[in-house]
Amino acid sequence: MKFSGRMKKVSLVSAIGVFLLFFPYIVGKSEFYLNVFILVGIYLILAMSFQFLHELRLLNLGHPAYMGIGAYISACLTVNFGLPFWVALPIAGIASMVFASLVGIPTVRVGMIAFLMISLSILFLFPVVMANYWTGLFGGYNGLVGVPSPSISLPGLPNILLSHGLPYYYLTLAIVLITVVFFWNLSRSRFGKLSKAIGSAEPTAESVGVNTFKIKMIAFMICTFFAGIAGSLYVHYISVVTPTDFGLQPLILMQVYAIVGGINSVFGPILGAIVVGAVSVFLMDLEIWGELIFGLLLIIVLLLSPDGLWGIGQSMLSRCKGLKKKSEVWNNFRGIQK
Amino acid sequence: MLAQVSLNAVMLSANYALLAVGMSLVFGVMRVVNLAHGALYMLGGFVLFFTYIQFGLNYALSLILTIITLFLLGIAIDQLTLRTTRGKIAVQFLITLGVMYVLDIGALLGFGYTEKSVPPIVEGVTYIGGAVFANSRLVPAILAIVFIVALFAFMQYTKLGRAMRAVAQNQDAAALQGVNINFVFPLSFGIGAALAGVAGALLAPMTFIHPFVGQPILWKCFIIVIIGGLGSIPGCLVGGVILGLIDSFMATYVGAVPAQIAAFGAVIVILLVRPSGLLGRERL
Repeated sequence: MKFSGRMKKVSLVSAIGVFLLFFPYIVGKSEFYLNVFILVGIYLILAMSFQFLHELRLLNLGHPAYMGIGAYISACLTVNFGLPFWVALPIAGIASMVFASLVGIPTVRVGMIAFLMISLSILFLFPVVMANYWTGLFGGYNGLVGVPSPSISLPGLPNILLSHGLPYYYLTLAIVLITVVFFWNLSRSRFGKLSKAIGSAEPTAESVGVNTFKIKMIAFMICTFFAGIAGSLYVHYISVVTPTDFGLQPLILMQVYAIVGGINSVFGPILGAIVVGAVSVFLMDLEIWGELIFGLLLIIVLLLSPDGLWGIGQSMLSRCKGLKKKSEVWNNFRGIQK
Repeated sequence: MLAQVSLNAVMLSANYALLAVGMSLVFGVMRVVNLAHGALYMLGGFVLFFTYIQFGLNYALSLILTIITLFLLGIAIDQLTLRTTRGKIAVQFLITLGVMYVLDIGALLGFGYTEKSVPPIVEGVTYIGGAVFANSRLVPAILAIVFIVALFAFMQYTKLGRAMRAVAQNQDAAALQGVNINFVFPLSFGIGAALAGVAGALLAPMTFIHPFVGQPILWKCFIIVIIGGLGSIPGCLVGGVILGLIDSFMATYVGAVPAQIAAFGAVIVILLVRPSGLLGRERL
């Protein structure tokens, strides 16, 4: 039986699926590795949504702030109002989305650099506002502590607490997989292709009647929704939220994942997260040297390859295909000659 | 009280304008938003600390050494990181973000976590009219104005300055006129870095020196340059004055936090309404 292309893809995906399912047991339920996976997964959600906005030439440097909004709303709802995690999670995403829609109305129209600088201003404003206003709800400078872990309470079954490590790993895995599938389908859909068209040639797209404002607004809202979800996931894992958690560090991390992996493809952030996440495990012992290497990594990758690792992989793949094609053509030619 | 606050505002504005003028110059000539500007300011403070305090050189010599060191560092950064990506604005933006991160963390690793301080260079107070000026603030403000005027004179009246202005207006046209762009770019970045360093050295006695002191400075420069207009030196003065007024008056009468929010709010409004800034000529 020939191993068709379709079967290859299905078996690859299943292999990865099995690996991910049993990953905790492969690493011996080590809290350390599970912690890395969970954090990498959370930042991957951020990186993928950042990447999609990048397709539209919307460099949203304020993306961590939307994660922060989701985090704070989720923390506030669970700590101050006692709502369960499963209610707070989608509300967190919606809150980020609502805020983004307010911000987006005036700002998605402006040029790329102006948008970039406005989003950077939002990133700077976020900790200032969260530390000083509505301190009753948001805990001011010290933030909120004691954010509860999610729990599953189905009638008739015992209460399952998804606290650190193993249970939270599966929660994160589920949400990350949903996000990956979503963005993969989004990039292949008509909306995704429209977005890329707007990104590469906006005046042309407008001239054929595409409502660029509407597309950009929808994309902005979708991506910030996921940023809010990532924020909620983050805060229920860390159990604490402070105003300064959502500044330059997540920004650089998110960009390193997306740019190292390949900013022009939906698989880029995924590849980047895997590679950089794996590397960061080794860098973790080095503490602050690890942070230095991250900055250097950002610069070096930006200088070397605009398409990141995914681009390198693609060009290697096409060279292999090209070589195969070349030899096929050559053999056919010799066959005809004979 | 009002007079005192106003005069504080004026001195603050002069210092802010000096901070911002380097960033504005780099953007004007190279179209690079230099996010590492704050880090370069921070390094200026450190160089001053090492020459003035540790080696005990006199202040003027330390200042000159700071300028030279930061100038060379700026050229090095440009040649290492920006040379191969000329013209790609978004990429260079992210590169300078990386440079800023590397410089900040590098300083943390190299110089340690503890704050260092430099004592005021001059002592005493001056009375002008009914207001009191602390000399330790007055002298840096005056020196700041001197440097800004010197830069303006350089840009207006020297051949090199005219070359830089030509490149700022239109790179291709300048190249056609025989301006060596590959020489002007690192030079501009070096001068921008040197200006950041001077600002760092002048303001060091007033605040402490620490690897992360560049970050709030970066935001301030960012605000001033955007409000005043990217690429415009008079714009920096205008932006400096506006931010100086916001910081002095709002901080004194309303509070430091609303002052910060007002400043960033002004940035966002300007970017939405007139993206090139009040006096800028660039289309964003």
